[in-house]
Amino acid sequence: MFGLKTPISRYRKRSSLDDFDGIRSILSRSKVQESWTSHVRQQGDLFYVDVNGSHGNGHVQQPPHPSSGSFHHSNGSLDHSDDSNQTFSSRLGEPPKNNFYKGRQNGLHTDTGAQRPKVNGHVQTNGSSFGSNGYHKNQSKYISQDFDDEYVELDRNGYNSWTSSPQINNKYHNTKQDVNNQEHGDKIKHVYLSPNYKNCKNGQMSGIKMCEKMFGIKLCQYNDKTRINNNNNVVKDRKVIVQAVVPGSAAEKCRQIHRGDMMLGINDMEVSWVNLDKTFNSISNKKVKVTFQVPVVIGPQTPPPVPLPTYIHSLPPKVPPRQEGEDIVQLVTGTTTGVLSSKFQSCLCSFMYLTLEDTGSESENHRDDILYMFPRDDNIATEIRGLFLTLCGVLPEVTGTAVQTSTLLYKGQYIHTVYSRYGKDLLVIAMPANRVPLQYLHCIKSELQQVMDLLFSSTSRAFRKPRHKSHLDQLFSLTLNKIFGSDSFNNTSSPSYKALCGSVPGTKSLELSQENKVLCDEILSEFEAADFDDLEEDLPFDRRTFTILGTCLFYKEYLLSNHMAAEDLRDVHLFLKYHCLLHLVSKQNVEELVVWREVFPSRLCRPSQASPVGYNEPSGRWFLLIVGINSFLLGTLLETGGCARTIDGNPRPDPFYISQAKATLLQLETDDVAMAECCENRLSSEKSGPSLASADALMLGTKPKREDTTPSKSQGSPKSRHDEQEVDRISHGKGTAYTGSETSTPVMRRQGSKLSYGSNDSGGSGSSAGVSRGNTSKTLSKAGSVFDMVSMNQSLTTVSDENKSVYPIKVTKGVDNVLFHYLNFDGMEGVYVCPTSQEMSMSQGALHAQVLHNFSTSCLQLREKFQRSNMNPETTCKHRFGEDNTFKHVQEQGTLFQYKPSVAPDTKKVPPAHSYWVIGRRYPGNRELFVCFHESVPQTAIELAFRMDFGS
Amino acid sequence: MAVYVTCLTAGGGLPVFTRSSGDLKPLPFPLIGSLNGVHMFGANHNVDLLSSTTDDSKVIWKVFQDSITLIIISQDDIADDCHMTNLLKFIHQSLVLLLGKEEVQNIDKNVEKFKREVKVCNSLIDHLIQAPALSTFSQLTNTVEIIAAPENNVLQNFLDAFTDAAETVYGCLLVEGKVSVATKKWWSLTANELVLLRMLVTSLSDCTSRDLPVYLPDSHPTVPHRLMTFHLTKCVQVCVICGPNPALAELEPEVVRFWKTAYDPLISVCRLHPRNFPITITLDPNILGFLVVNRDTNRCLCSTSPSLEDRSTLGDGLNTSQRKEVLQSFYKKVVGSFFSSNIEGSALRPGEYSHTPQETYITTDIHKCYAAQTGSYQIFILYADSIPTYAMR
Repeated sequence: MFGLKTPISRYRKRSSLDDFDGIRSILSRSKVQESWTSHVRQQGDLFYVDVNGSHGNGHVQQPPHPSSGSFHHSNGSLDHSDDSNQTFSSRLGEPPKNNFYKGRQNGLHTDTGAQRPKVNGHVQTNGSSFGSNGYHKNQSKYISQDFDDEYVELDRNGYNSWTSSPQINNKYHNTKQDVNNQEHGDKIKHVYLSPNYKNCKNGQMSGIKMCEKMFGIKLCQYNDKTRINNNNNVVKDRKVIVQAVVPGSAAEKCRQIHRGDMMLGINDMEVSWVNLDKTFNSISNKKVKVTFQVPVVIGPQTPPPVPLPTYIHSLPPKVPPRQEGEDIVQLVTGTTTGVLSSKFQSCLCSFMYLTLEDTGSESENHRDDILYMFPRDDNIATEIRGLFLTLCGVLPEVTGTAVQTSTLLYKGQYIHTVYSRYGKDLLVIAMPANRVPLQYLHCIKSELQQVMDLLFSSTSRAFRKPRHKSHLDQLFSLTLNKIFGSDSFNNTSSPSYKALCGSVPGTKSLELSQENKVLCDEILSEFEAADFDDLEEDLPFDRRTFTILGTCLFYKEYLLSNHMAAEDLRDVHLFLKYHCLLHLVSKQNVEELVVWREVFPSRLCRPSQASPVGYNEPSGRWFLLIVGINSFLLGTLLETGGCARTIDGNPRPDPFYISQAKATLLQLETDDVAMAECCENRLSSEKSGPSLASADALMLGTKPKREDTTPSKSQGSPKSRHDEQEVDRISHGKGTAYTGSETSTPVMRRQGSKLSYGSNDSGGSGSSAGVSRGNTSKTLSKAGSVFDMVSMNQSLTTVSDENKSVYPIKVTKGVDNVLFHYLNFDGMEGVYVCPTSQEMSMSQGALHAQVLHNFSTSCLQLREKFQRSNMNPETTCKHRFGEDNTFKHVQEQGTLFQYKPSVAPDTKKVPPAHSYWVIGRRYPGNRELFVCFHESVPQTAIELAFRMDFGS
Repeated sequence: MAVYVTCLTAGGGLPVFTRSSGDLKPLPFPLIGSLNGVHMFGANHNVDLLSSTTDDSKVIWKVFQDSITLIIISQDDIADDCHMTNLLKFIHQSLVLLLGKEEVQNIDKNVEKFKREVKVCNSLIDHLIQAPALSTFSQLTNTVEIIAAPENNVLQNFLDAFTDAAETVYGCLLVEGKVSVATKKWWSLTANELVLLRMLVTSLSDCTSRDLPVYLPDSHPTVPHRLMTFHLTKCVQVCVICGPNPALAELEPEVVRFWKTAYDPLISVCRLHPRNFPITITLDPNILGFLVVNRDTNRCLCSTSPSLEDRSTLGDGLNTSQRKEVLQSFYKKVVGSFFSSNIEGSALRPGEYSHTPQETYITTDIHKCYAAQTGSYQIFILYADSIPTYAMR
């Protein structure tokens, strides 16, 4: 097919291996307007999220007002036609198995098409009441089961039946119609609103403006250009659609008007674009009856597809570009900025950007120095902003270095503030100390700075340019939401644990089996290679618009594979993190997520070190494309201007790359790969990482009954005893120091014999299923005693010897598992490994939560010291107050916590106190490992384990 | 570690004194003014500005008795604020010790007079903020440093007899600034007083005998007492606190009469000085130094040269002042973050832990430190780096 200008549909002969190419081709060639196109902003940015589908059933009833539902629902008819064409969906509760992207030929009716239902007669048909006006999302109706068959058929027959598809479509449409039947019919609603005349005193305005001012209803505006270009008829036919409802307006208060509703009449007079202005200007009564038609999803009987002549981006946008920054919060969290910020009012937190510059008119406006603040409302922080400004002015003179932090006491509450200074400007972030430890706040500050640098090229520019304001608002409210928001999906995480994870400067990574990893890498590489046939066909002699600098793949919040420079990865990860996208995909499946914007990656825009002689990074512009489907997120960094074409202006998202990225993601979901399943297995598999013991079980003595010996256990127990002896023998025999080689040899030999524990990580193949299922968490913690930090090693050294890293070792004495928690951070790669939430949920309990809290709190402190000793000696200039050389190179720190069970008055025997260690160790190469384990492990064994792991 | 300490009146923000240690330029007045200004501004808005850090330094503000504001600017010790706050508290208390509480309270009445009077405190304050290698653990741990000599029992009798002659119950024997023995009543003084009196005596220049008016900051902050010190041998001083009687001249001849027979044990205690604990006890050669703190009796024992042959002369690792520095720094890092102590505010962060931390350690490439606490005892040990980590316990 390559190089031929034949429509794909004519192709019959395809080997099954080319399936993926097939997907790519279909996606890139489908002459269908993607659902995100209408969301592209003027600057070419795109932030589009379609959340739902994780529990899609036949009808998703739209909740009564949009703020509680996902944003995309409220798009109403604009998107419904899309939905009907999309087929990523799943049956209730079933993991998405065979999602397949179906080529759409329904074409360009995204805007006009769905609104096509005729107006006449609607006013009379007084449809159903408000309660049932739900948007009948039918996105989930083409469901997988029968789809499998179709897919197989496709493999055999090629694509002709697919793209021309009458029978398939009909099949689906039929099923859908069945579902839809009872709901069918157009729904009309009458809403009585009291217009706000005050807002529109000054004479003549356009009808659209009037409508917005009076009722708070924003109508879909059409581009002026289109209006001129098209003839009058089109204008006449065009429907009056609600684009948005202004918060706080009459329209919002009545809660019956939603985006996508079609305005039919006012005071029983028909409204159209022709008479809109006149109608609105003539309104004078107190109550106005406004009639809307509720959009109904129209199935196959909607107008025939209109093929597009070329790629979509050559078309003038039909829907006006939205205001910048709109909706991100809503998209991601489902609530609006306003709701969020009111939630945070109780907490004392503030982001401020102040300036010392003389504004000249000081007396007139005393708030001139605030260039930006969030939340908007004044709190104590804004009142005392003079304090911050003065501090930042004075302290550098006294100490010679810039101010970093302050601690305040306000009404009995400690408040931490962090500062960073940009010339004469100052960014201040204040947070209550009980929620955000100082170290965490510090991290938030530097990370936010990096995100702002990434998005707006510099932090000061971000605040100085008013057009970025709304985006910043959203960024900060998301940040606050992330920090303070109740985390319903992972209830084990205490604020301190969150703080720990938040302040580790890396991405959580998920270590896949070698096989799967290679697969991921291959798929990404294929995408990066950009060896797209279509591109060459269409633009044979042009330079490409973009080159792909690197990609990274996330599953839920875990990094699966990274093909970027570490700095780039960090940028991308921070972007995802601070826009809560990782959180979003980890919580629910997203139907479709497309983000496109120009970025200023720190590696390329703000190089920390000079590039090697003879080579310069090409200067150009960079764009970040993030595409998400289900739980996968693919981040791509694109470059223009390097070896690709230089472009001017604000390029809109390139649909070609987006569709290719989608195809890449879909490829991961196909039968052969089934990466989601692998990841899921990996996440839920108990064997995946070092298993954790529950502190409650171990310390409180609430020992679960020993379950019947599973084969693996009977195999394991004697072994563990054997191991113990052997370890003891080694430790006593050798006395003091070990060398890695001496110890690792016998241990490895033993591991070799323990095959039943062996097949780690191969969740996808299911070969270890028997073993892992057989071991419940309890038996595992009893019998397993897997203190296998070695498998953490695997995640560190990706090229590690499979033999060595996969098998867990036992260094614990006795049969109890003693490892409570761990966290492993690799600063070079920018990734960290810690137990998954599933693993953590296995070991829950009140006591364990306390242990975890202590673990995180002390780790934060340990980390602080590590970081100090990480600082480069040459960067530290002469200190005015002398230097503290005493703890320059901290290698390891530990703290022993003692838990004394509260003694019940009637028991005579005092229960023994339990102790556990929290130990952090730093390794060369900026790697850090934190573990938390019970004291019963002999220190010699710990030393052994540490040494073995890292060969140091 | 260089330090600025600035004292201003809390009401008017008038500067009272500024002391500094290390080679620091004197702070210009406008800077002091603005430093105080930010704090006052916050106070007007109901906000108490506690501390600020820059890249490498830390500033702490604190108001005492609603009359004076103390500001300390120093190196950021990467430790809890409580240590520097503790230092400020000592500086305030030393003002009270020498000038009396009422004087400090009514500072606004005559600032100029106070400024003149406060000069007597300079040497004590300078002593408090001097470099860590020179200072002792007393002000850091809020306990008084002792010397554990086998002769202490003998000396106790001498001291008791002498204090009787001085018609007082407060008396103590200082060997190189460390308490060898003291009367029961002396030990009943608060930790602050114990530490400050000790600091006061060591901060003053050597003289054979001395009679000094002092206010005991906690027990008698408004009634002046007399602190009399007498030099016995080269490094031994005996101190008594008494009321209006007896006069110095009366007591001076008594000193010779009471202490002459004690000369031999005094000399042998003196010999113990850098080691601070009996020679009969031998420790592991890996131990470079240790600090034992008893929180109940407000005593601490410290030694940075525990081994008989001085390893530092062999070119091996740290010399004694470095050891001292490391131990101090370690103490600061542990207390306030994991352990709590007598220091005010040090229980704040350890209180966040739901379980009590018992032991903690830090290893670096040149030394290893280990700390443990049981009951009211806390021990901090500095090891050489050759010791295996697991053997530290």
